[in-house]
Amino acid sequence: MGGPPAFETVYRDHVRLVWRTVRRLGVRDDDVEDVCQRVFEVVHRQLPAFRGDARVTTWLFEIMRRVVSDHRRSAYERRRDQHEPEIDVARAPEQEQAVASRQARALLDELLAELDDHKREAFVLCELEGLAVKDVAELIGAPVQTVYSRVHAAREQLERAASRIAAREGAA
Amino acid sequence: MKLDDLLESARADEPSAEQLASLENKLAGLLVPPTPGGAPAGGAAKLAIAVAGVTVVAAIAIVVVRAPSPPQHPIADAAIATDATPSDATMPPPDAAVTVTPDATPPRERAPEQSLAVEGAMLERARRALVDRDAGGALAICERHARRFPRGALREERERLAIEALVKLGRRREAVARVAAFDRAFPDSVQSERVHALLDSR
Repeated sequence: MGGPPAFETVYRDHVRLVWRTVRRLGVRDDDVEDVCQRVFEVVHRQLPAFRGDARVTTWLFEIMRRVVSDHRRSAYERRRDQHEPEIDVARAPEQEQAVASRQARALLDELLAELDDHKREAFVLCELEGLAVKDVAELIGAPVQTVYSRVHAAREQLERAASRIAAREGAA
Repeated sequence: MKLDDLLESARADEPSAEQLASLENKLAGLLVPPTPGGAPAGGAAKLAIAVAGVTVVAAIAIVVVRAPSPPQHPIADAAIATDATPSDATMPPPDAAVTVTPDATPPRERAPEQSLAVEGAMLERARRALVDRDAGGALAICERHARRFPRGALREERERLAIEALVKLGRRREAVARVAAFDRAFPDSVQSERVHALLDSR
């Protein structure tokens, strides 16, 4: 059995996954890069202790959860102290397709934001990133059934929210 | 729009090439350069001086990692890469009093701007390690800093971080000894009060 994988390999194989997940776990666009940087700094520091019997992705999700949670707490405190608005500032002009894609993304963000943290996490990891329910259960330290329930409840809630938004936009 | 369509588009929601390049630049100190023929040392050094902060050190580190002697770990971090004795990265920290030696000779000379940037980045990583509740990692970085920059411009800051790490690790006796060494080395330090306060914290 070899030692832990090289940092470079972990980075190249998983940077996109980390980026997506960090965003989906509720980090603002402007902060995603910094949070990803922190995730990989922790990865680099802890890599020598990485146990080969765990899956790299599971280990990464564990690190991401912690870093994102720390970030969200400190970002909330910072914005509260500075009275910074939650909305993004104006963006540069973009291609039509990029705008459409951004709108879809913003819509999904809006939907995900309606979920509580537990449901959001279970839904993002299982449905968007395709982790096995049992892996997510192990990762977050909850019974498998709980994860199933959260994913199911999240999906129902998202379906309802999507219909509501569609109706609202249809009426506008 | 249907939820499943939305999820499908989200799965393909990748960072742009620019975003990836920017992230990679920030992590350059931790990544081995992809090809042997990258930017020349002068270019990296200029960039390092022009842009303050962690990114800077990353640029310097690219050059450093290419040093001929292979380190024990294939992906040496920026701090280990130029250590005179790469294999001692995992050694226990040296005696507390020995680490604060204002008259010791640095292992190798380099431009002061570069040294300061490297020092700053190392200590920033130590600070972040403390925030991440990794006091052992923070202390290891401080010890590497002490070996590389025994007369470093930021050695007071390093000592403060090392003492904080020792306190958090529950190594109180060593923390007290290190505070005493700090007082001897820097009797007029503005950090003195803060350093002593660490002994009352947990």
